[in-house]
Amino acid sequence: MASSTAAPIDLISVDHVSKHFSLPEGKGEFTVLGDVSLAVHRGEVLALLGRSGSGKSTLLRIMSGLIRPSQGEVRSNGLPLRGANPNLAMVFQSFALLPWLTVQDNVELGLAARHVPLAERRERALKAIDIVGLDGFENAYPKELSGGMKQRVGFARAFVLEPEVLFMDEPFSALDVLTAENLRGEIDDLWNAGTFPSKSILIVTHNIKEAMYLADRIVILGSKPGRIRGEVQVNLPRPHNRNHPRFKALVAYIYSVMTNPEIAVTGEPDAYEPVPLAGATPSPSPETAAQRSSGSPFARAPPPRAGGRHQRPRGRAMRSDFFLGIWDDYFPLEEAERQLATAVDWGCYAELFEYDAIEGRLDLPG
Amino acid sequence: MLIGGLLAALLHVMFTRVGLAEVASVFELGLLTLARVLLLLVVATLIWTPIGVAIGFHPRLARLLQPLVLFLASFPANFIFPFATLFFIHSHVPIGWGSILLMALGAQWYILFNAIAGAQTIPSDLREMADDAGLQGLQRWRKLIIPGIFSAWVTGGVTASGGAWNASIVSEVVSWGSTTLTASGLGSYIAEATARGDWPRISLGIGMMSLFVVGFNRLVWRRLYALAETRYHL
Repeated sequence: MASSTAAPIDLISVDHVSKHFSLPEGKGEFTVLGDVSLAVHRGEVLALLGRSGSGKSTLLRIMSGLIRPSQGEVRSNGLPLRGANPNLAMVFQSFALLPWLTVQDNVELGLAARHVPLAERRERALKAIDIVGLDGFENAYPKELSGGMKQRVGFARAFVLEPEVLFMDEPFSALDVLTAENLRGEIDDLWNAGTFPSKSILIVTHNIKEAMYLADRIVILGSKPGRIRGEVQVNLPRPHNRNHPRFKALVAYIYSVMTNPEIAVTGEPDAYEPVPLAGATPSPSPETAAQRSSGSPFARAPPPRAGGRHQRPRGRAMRSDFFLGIWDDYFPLEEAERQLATAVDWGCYAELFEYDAIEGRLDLPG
Repeated sequence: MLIGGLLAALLHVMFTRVGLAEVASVFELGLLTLARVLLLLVVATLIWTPIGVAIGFHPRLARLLQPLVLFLASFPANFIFPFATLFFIHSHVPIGWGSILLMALGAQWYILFNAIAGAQTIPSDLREMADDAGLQGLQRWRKLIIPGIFSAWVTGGVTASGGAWNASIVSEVVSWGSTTLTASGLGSYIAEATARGDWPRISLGIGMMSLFVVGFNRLVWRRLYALAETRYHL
């Protein structure tokens, strides 16, 4: 609750929000979001991470006031929200530029809607265009621009309004890998420099590494119905170093959480111990020695080149994608797939586990 | 070459039988009917475009209203003509204006349908972006809706005006019982010449109408289409 004297910490919040859509021909209702409560705090970058169909884009639109929830309340700065929220601006996956307007006119759109006088509009728009690095392209039309440039215009259009919160709906998904990497880095630099036009950022993404790179807090959404499974505090110094052990551990943890929908999200990866390499000094831990003597399952031991990682399976099953994901970090995909196939073959032959090819799942026997 | 030959024969027949003065007066009648068609276009656009856009933007509204709209559009306009004529006679509405209403009965639906279709082609992310930017009212129309539906509107305009020109032949001369109302215009000229079986005047009238329609097409509609393709292409 916001008091009248203190600035609210929760810039935008949703409270027990649900969204249903009625199916055609009276087949009932389809619940996209079920009882979601979430808040964007001042000064943070929050990521909404979920698979397609987890309702993350719907949640974003409800939080921005573009859609009304079926139940629950949306608040902006503590006050209930009616209609589109003027305190925020959105960057769209598909860029959403008006093709018949120039870059300048597109960027000025929000200002024109707020009846800002022409001279001021021009000046602010030019500044925003400069921030995103499109100086000189003011009079170009969208069809003359590349995807990366179009998204920069999208950012400029949002920046020029100096919104309290910047919403991004999978902003880099429609760009090629290098351009996305470039733009992502620039946005991160802008945020870390402390001169960002917004107080907070909310980014919706399905890309785990992107969420880890940009966000301070990652909320993980489940699907059917869309709900919050848990959240992860990144707790790393900015800019987030992709080679930091915690970064990699969290990426692996989030990956396993996302590929195993039934696990509860605790927010911290399990403590991990490096498995000793063949020929290395044996670890003093009796547990590891016992595993070695009983013959650690092939599939659990990462290839010799790796630093060594070890995760306990939850329940009696794990997805083969998990292991593929680990190897994929070190090998080209084809090689990683080949290694997985070999390991699965050997493991099944030795009756260490069973493999369900259709589900992509490894089950411990018994 | 065939068209040229026909045209030459037509002109010969017309000029020997009809005379230049009448050709000029028929041209003036054409201008009158053109004025009716243009007025019809403007009013139908002003009334039906916002309704069509609203229907196109809201699929639930579309499902509700679609049967009604289809019914109205496919209702045979000519069926209404005698009753409309009776109404005009009794309320002393001059047929010069009344004929516009009659022409509209068939033609206005093209504007509505194309407005609906045009609104449906506007990508939903552009509409969301406009909502997010706070674009409302006249500005929303100027920057988003009109450019977005422009090419669909041009299609609607071409078909509506074509339909209106055709309808003028049966709309500018109407009867109820023994009372006949005749408006000054190209449509009535053709209708009356046809009733008399006056071949030279029929050819003159139809030739003049074709001239107006084709001329307007080239001078106006073609240019608008080009504009739609280059500037307002989605």
